[in-house]
Amino acid sequence: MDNLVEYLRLFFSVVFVANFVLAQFLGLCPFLGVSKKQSSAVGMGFAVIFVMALAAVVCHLLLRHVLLPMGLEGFLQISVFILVIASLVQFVEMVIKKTSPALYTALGIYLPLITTNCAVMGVAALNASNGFADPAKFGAVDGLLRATVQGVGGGVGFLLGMYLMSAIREDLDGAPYPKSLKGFPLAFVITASMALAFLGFSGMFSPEGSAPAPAAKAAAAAAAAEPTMAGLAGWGGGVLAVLGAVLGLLLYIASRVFAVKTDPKVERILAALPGANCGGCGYAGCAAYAEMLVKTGGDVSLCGPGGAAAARQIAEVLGVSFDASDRRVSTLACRGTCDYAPAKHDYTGVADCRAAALIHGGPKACRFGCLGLGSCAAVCPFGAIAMGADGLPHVIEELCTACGKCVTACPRDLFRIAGEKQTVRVACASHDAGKETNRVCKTGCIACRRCEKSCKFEAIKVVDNLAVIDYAKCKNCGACVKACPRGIIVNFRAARKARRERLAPKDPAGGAAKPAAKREEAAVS
Amino acid sequence: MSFRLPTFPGGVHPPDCKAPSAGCPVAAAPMPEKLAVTLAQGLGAPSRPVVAVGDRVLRGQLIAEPGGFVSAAIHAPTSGKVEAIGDCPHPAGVKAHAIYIVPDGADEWAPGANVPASAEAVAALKPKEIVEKVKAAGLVGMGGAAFPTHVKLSPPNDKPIDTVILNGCECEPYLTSDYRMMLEHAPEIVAGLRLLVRAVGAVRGVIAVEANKPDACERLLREVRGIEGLSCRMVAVKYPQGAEKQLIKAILGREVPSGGLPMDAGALVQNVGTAAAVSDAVCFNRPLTERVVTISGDGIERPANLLCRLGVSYRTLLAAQGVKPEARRLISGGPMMGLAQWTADVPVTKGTSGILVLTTPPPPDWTACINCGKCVEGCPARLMPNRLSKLGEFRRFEDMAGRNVLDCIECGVCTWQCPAKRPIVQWIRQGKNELRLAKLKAEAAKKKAEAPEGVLPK
Repeated sequence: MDNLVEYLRLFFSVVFVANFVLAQFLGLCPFLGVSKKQSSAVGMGFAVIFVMALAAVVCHLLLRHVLLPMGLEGFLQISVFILVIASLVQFVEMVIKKTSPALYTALGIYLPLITTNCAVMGVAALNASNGFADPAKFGAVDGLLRATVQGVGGGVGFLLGMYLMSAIREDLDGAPYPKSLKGFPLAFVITASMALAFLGFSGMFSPEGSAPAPAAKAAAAAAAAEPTMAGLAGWGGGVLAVLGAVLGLLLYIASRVFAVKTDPKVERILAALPGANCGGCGYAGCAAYAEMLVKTGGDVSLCGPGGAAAARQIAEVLGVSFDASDRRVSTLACRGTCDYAPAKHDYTGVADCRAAALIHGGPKACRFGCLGLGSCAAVCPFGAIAMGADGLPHVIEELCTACGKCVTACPRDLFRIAGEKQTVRVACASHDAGKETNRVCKTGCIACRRCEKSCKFEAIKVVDNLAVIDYAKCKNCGACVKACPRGIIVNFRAARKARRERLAPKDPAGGAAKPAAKREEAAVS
Repeated sequence: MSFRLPTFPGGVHPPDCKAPSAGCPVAAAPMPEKLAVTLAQGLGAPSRPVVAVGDRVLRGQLIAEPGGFVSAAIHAPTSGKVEAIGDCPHPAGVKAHAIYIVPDGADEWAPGANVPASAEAVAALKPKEIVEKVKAAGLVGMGGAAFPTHVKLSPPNDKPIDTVILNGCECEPYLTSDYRMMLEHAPEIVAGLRLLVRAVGAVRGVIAVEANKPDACERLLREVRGIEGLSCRMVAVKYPQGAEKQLIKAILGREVPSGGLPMDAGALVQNVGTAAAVSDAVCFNRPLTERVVTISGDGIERPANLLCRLGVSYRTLLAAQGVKPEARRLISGGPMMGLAQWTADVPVTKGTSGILVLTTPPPPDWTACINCGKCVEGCPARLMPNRLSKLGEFRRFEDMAGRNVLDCIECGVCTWQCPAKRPIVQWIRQGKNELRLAKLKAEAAKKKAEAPEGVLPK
């Protein structure tokens, strides 16, 4: 430990001054990819520390005790390093998959990417070019310690960069920056600013000491180059083969030790799912949904992005039937627009229905009505809910996947999941008596029972002051729609047709006439 | 040598605006044609009515019993007839029923109520009996939160209380009801403090008064002089000095642990008004039927401190004091923590400390956080409102739990001084609510999972 100061200098210089990500721009791929959330960034950072430290040590030992004595370092060095690092990453992947499945899912593709991570490769190469393995310059222990310190320090530097980056990105997540900056452009801007900031560390240490002088480096390279010319290609192949065999065996053992049992069905369902991990199904990512399907069964058609194709494949794996025409959509049970249902007070707080509902039950006079602040539109992962000019959310059924996020988001519990084919729906949720409903809303259900009388199939009943349709009996004939004096029984087929026409690209006037069309669409019924 | 008044870290200094009503002695409020005594007088479960429509009730007669452990009894504020029991808007925005009473003008006390107890009888009361009397009188915290007093007086045995702190800070701007109580009813407050000290077996009773009310402090000092264990202390003028945990920090230097209650720091904090009500309840058998309410704000013609019967509608009081035409907002409570009202038909409850009518327009639109850190400096709970506000803005309420959002006392310091006008405390309140709902949901799911097959959990 005579060189403690040297080691510390080496450590801090590789963490701050020569930071792998922010000063040397190595390993940018996982740096940008996994830095969206602090938790996964920290997990990734520690994985990199582990791999880097181990890679530095193993590569150093191989270089010093195998390659250098044999004079192979010149042309075999990189191949050996890659082999070692690749095996190490495989190993780490197995360990993480076994010990922390959540982290494993979060890291996703980026974990295998460390395999080809130039930062890990970089630390091994830096150790080599610093000559830590050269017996002429450093003692055996001294050299090994320096290589280890550089490896650990490199990993710590990576973790530091990752953590700062993820903190900034979490902070900016959802901030109102221009859309064109979203994703990588912004990440690059942040990285660049951070790199500039890290430039400030460059005066921390005097340059000598951390790296050997260029002259010495050149001499070392020249010295190293000489024996390689001897053409020991046979030796090289043998070394690689032996190394490969040893590492392969170790990996085999590790894969047995850290084996994770997965149901083959889960794997097959995962393959059928798009892997976007959007959470639209209501589960924490594709893997969780697949697991639920295999374990408890359930609705195979919950995956919005995968659509009918994914549902069909999943149904096949599980051996259940799936009818693609049985699509379900979300529908709003309120038609109390600003004109129809007045507010009882001004609300100036957070523009979120759930916040507004906390204060005097929300600003709308009707205690069942839509608050119109768009919590549903904000949570919809598919952009299937648009806030209309009339103050109500409108479900775009073509985009809706019936994921149910709007159902849970609505503080008034106004969304219903309906079959797409059940086009006649009651668009009111008020259980108030007719008189009270009339006071607070010009369009709410007043329980007049005209719909009941109009229905030939006995499919509609007024229960607790509100019309309820029994879809087992309903034929979508629309008699009740015509009979309703308040216009709250809506045939969504007309609305759908109007929307399709409006969305058709040929119609140039469609966009301009949007709010008016929307009002009409409600009146069509 | 510098002299610093005890206080807590953080906090702000809003203009105190107390001048308009500070000099107004407490006057009796007009008796309206109808009283709406809401059944949700305090925090906790609503009370259960024990009278029927058409009954004649007398002042101080029990009309609703506690609906649970954390709930308080309610007594008729005057003599009259129960006209109806039904829906009534509530100043806290909760859905609640009310007992509507038409006063008969006699204001006749129920038998046994308003009868002074002899000094010997009071001195002979055991701690349990004091708590029982407090419970029977329907006392709740009169500072604003309206937490049932008997619950606070019944700590578990493993949490001894050594100090009772009476909160006479009244740190909310505009409000002067506690100040007037301290000036006009100092003997009752001190008597109440002695009873509270006895009830919880404490060794000390401290009355804390903010330094901007030296006359009240002096009056109370005169009253406690010579009584062993009691003292009156001035504390720094700072908002929220009257918050329970902050007051304990200032007076005792102890910190209430995260997620804990004042009893975890060996302290009990009560409002001075509550102490006076304790004395009324125990020494005079007078249940809580009225309280002092400050009517103030720049939209009020004649600011006042009124002794109001429970159930008087704000409209009656505002009509009596006059509302200026430029009035824009009606607030129940102080301007920092009070709740804006959408109708003046809400009744005075046991927790109504003030009614403010302000002419200030609603705040302008908020902008992005500018990372100035003022909210972090000011937060008396030592949280990071900047982080919480961003989590709220991005609807990441579940992440708020990791930032101790449940320790937020919702004092509004962060929001009051935010230069970007961000609705921080509103987000925090929403976050707390979301966390509460998520917890309920998880518990329900757990219950469902544990229930035997085919049995639907209730």
